[in-house]
Formats: sequence, C-alpha cells, structure tokens
Amino acid sequence: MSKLELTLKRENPALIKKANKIIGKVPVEAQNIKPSLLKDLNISEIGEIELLSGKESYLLKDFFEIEGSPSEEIIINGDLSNFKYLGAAMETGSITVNGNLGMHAASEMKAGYLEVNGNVGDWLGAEMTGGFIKINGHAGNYVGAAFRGDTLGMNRGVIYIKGNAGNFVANKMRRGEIIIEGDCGELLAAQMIAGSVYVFGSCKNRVGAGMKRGTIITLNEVEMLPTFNYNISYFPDFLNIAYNHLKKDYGIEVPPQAYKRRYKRYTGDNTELGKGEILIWENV
Amino acid sequence: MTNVKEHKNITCTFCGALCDNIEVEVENNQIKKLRNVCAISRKKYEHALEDRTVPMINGQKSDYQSVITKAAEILKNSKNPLIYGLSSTTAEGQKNAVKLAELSGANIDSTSSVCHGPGTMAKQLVGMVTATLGEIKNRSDLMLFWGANPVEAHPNHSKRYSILAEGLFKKNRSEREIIAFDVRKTPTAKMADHYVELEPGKDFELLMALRLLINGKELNSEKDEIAGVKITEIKEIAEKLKNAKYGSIFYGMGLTMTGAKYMNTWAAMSLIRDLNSYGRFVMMPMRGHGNVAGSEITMAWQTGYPFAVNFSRAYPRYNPGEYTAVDLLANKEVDAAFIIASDPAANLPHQAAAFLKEIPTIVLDPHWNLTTDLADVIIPSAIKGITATGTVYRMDHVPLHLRSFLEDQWPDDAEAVSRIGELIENA
Repeated sequence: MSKLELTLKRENPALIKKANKIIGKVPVEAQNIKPSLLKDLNISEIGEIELLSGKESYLLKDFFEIEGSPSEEIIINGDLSNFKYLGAAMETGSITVNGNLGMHAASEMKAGYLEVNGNVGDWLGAEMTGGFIKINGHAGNYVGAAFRGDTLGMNRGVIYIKGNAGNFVANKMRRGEIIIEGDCGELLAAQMIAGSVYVFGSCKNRVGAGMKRGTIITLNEVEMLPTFNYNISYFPDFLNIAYNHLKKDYGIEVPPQAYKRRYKRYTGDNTELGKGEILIWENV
Repeated sequence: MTNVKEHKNITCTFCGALCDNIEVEVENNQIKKLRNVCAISRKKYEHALEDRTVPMINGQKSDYQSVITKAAEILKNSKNPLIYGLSSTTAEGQKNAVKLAELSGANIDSTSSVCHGPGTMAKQLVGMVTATLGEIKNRSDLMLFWGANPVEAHPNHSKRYSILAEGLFKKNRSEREIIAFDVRKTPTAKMADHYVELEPGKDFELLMALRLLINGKELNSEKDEIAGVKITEIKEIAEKLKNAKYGSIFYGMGLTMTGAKYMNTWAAMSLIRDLNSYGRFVMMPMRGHGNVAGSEITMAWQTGYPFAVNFSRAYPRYNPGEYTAVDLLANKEVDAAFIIASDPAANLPHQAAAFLKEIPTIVLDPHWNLTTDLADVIIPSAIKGITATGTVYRMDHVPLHLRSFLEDQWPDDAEAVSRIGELIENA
C-alpha cells in the first residue's frame, strides 16, 4: 500500500534564532495533518495545507519534505516536540512519528492509529472517543484526561505507553483503556468516572483521588489514600480475560507474573461514589 | 513657607490585604510622616522614590517615546510573544495589557500562575464559598489558617480583619477560636489556639480524611495517623468544624503550591462545600501582591479566563501548563517577553528566567530589579497608589480606588501599555 512520508526540514519557520544559533522553537499547530484530509489531495495540494505557528500561518511544505503518494498512512520523521494537536480529531488511517511529539497529540481522536517512536508531551489522547495510540517512549501529564473545564475525559479507545507517564493520567476518564508499562506520576485516575488503567510499573501518591467508578490495576504497592477501603485479597478471573484481550487485540505484552495471581482490592473514593476499585498485585 | 499636606485614607498596595487607612504627611513632594503602616509598608513608602528606572534600550539611555516605539516594534515582529506580570499594576493597566495581548497575538499570564493560580483552577472545578473580609471579621467564630502566615506576610491582616480584629458581633480574640495548619510553627501558629503540624506535602490526605468524617463516614486507616496527625486529633478537628456557626479558612501557598497542587485546594473547597450543611463556612485565599486578585478578575472579565491565556488564534484560549509563563519560557516557546510590574528573574525557576536573557525582553517597572538588569528595553512608570491613580482589588475581590499624593515625571502603566497598543494597532 502506498504511503505518504513527511520529513521535517532542518530549517523551518518555527525556529527561534539568535545570531544564527537555534535558541528555541515556536509551537506549531498541526491538526491539519490528518489522514482523512490528506488522502484525497494530490502532492502539490498537500504542500499547500495550512499549519499555524505562533500567530503566523504557514504551509506544510515550509516545514516538511513530502515524499510518497497521498494515502491514509502517514509517516512523519523528525523531532516534532514543538508540534501540537498532531492527529487531533483523526477519524481514520494511521500516523507514525519517528521522533518526539508535542502536546495534545491525538486529542479528541475518533478512530485510527497513532504510533510514536519517541516521547510525547502532555494531553495525549485527551477526550479521545476511539482509536488506538501506541507510544514507544514516555508520555507527559494528563494522558486521556479531560480538557480544562470539561467534565468527561477519554471516552472509549486504547492508549498504550511503553515508557513512563506523568501526573494526572486518566483525569476524569469516562471509558476506555490506558496501559502503562513503566511508572506513573501522581494523582493517577484523579476524579475518574469509569474505564480501566493498567500500570505495570509503580505509581506515585494519591492514586484514584476523588474517583467515582473505574478500575486501576497495578503490579506494585501503592500508598493508599485514607478515603479508600480495603475489601479482599483474591484471584480475579476477569483480569486474565482482560490481559488476554490486551494481548490478542492490541499486541500488548503483559508481564507473565500478572496472570492468575492474588490481588488486593480496595474501593473508593469514599468522599465520592466509592465505586472505584484499585487492584494491587500481591507478591506471594 | 513650608507646604505640608496631609492625606488620609490612603490605600497601601504592597499586599493583598490593601489596608486603606494609611495617613501620610507630604512636604515638597517628599513623605514626611506615616501613620497606620506596617513594617513592610513603611519601607515601601520610604523608598518609593529611590532606585527609579529610566528609559533604556540595550543598556543605553534613551527617551520615553523611543522605548515605547521599540517595545511596539519587538511585540509586532514577534511570532509568539509573552506578556507577564500584572499583579502589581492597576486594573486599568491590566485591561490595557489584555488588549495589547489581543493586538499582538501574545500569551498573557499573571504571577497568579506561580502563586494562587492552582486555587483558581480548583475554584473552576467546585466553586468557592466566600465572603468579604468585613463579614468574616464581624461574624466568624472559628478561623483556620492553612499554609498561610499573615503575621509575617500580611502584617495588618490579623488586626484589621481576622485574629485580633474588633468586629460587630465577634468583638475580640476571646470570641474566636483559631486553628493553624502548617508544617512549622509560624508566628501565626503561635497566636492560634491549636496548632496542627502537618507532614510536608500531605495536606491533601488530611483534607480528604476530614471530608470523610464530615460526611459521616468511617475513617479506616491502616495507620494511626494521617499526614502526621493522630486519627483522634483529626476526629476532634472534624467535630470543631461541624460545630462552628460561622467558620472561615484563610489559605496560603502552603496549600496551593505543595503536594497535590490544585487538588489540595479542590479538596479544601469540597470540604467547605460539605461543611455548609452544618453551619456557614467560607474560604479566602491570602493573596500576596497588591492587585494579584485584580489580575484574575480583570483577565476573567476581559477574556473569560483568569490567567494563562493565549491569543495567537485571535480568540482567547486557556490552559495552565501550556500557556503559563514558566512553561512557555522553560520550553523555549516564546520569542519576546513583555514584563509588566514584576520581577520574574528573581522569582521564576532558573531555567525559565534564564531564557529571558536569550530573547528580546521589555520591562515596564518604576524601580530597578533583577529583570531590568537583563532587559533589552526598559520603560519607566509611575508608582501606583503613590504617584499614580487606578483601581486595585483586595483579596476578597472588593475594588478600591487609589489616589496619588506625590508627583512623578513618568506616565503610569496603563498609559504606557495603551500607547504601545496604539502603535501596533495603527501600524
């Protein structure tokens, strides 16, 4: 199948220079690099797509070398750490980024696939309603969260992070799955409404603060908030089914020790509905 | 013949308490006598006319019109400028700064983002039950100071509005109960009836435990203490909170900037909401700078958002963590900065402050400070409340009008910002 390949130019309008030395980069808003938009255009039309940087407006060809042919499959090479909203609201196709990526990547994504071979900024997959995101590096804060002032975060879809994630992951999450292979920052699943979060590494403090419903599964000890109750230590069969589903449907490697083992179950947050659960793997 | 003039009811603009009972005697454009001032305020007035800035471009003395033109040129040619500070200028200056941000497609942020901003974000999540300082003074029978130390930071606050104030119904100290929550025994904690020493960064845990008890639920902790406070003591505090007729919490940056950041204040505001099922309970941020409350009010009234606003798309967008000054500077995303009445070089994290040296920086300030040392353009201005008039907002959002009682050679902040805006608009 044909592919569209974009390579970031060494010289581009977003660079902030002082005496010919690059001292910074102005953010670029790249929501227009979207498979559904690019697939029906020819190469010269793709080059004319608008990208916004600071208060100025530029063309895609100002930033990227364009190769291949118009396609639903887009490959982008280069350090895009100042590119925001890439894959935002995408509804079909796939985007693969070979390099780092900035904030709001795949926010409000509806369907499709985003893979990043590098690190991503904050608000990854915020308020997404479908699709699959795979990050092979680390992710920032507010993964799958709700934007400021909104009541619902991620609502369906899957986010898989092979590295670590920052604070406020799954903040106000409504539905869907987030899988973090590495460690996770503070306030994981704060004010979560529903959904599932798997952390195979360790979590920092205040897990599930103010959560209503939803499930958090972790393979390491967690410092529990006083607003959670200890329920039981048991072998949850549904977790084996869930792990098999992650492996079969998304190719996610679940650590073998996670299967068929004893988990401690806590429920909370008791200042809210109290129907959220935290399952902590027991090393016995 | 000497020409001594006495001015009464002058408002001091040093801290958010905005004492409006200062008396000043002026002779030959010099302050001769001061009354009702605190130690901090006295120094502020005594040194007001010293260390004044002059118009400068790249280290060379210039004239006022040239620095204004140069500032307009920098902002106009910048792709993504930052306008920062605002907390020590008047509401009129802030209003003009928002207009300038819109004209120049800038990011605009106030010092709130490194101060009480998280509290404001929490306010957007749950809302805040609050009152004016007058009402608290007159009625509050239980006062809590959480991570705040007004005795040192707002010296006249306790006398005028809280611990020692003479209210209409609560006449003196003996009619009020004071509880201080802090990580160390501050002078405010020493004046309190009870001092609760918290484990640093664990305020959230204690607030959530209190919420649980106030909601009549069981507190099941595996340990016998939460945040360094014994469970029995937490239960006693919960009872005190429930029995208060009119409770008030004054919170400082010990709450907004530690541990769970805005979730700390979220927990505190949720606690206050729950406590209103029992009696009246209100909350008040101990705002630091004179008009930092005004910066949030003016920005909210102009843009819909209190701080961290971006105008690069011509309409306002809000996102703390993305459009806040620290993040923009530390991530090296801005290519020019306009600092209005603030000293970020002294207050922001090193990585953020260091970037100001790299980009064209304009400073509008009446006095020399660390940021003026690294600025490319310096615009002098009149001093609000001393040589300039305007409006400022007290920490309880009461607007107060400022009068000037000395003369100045420079126009005020509002005019400087407005002139820059006009040059950009008419270019």
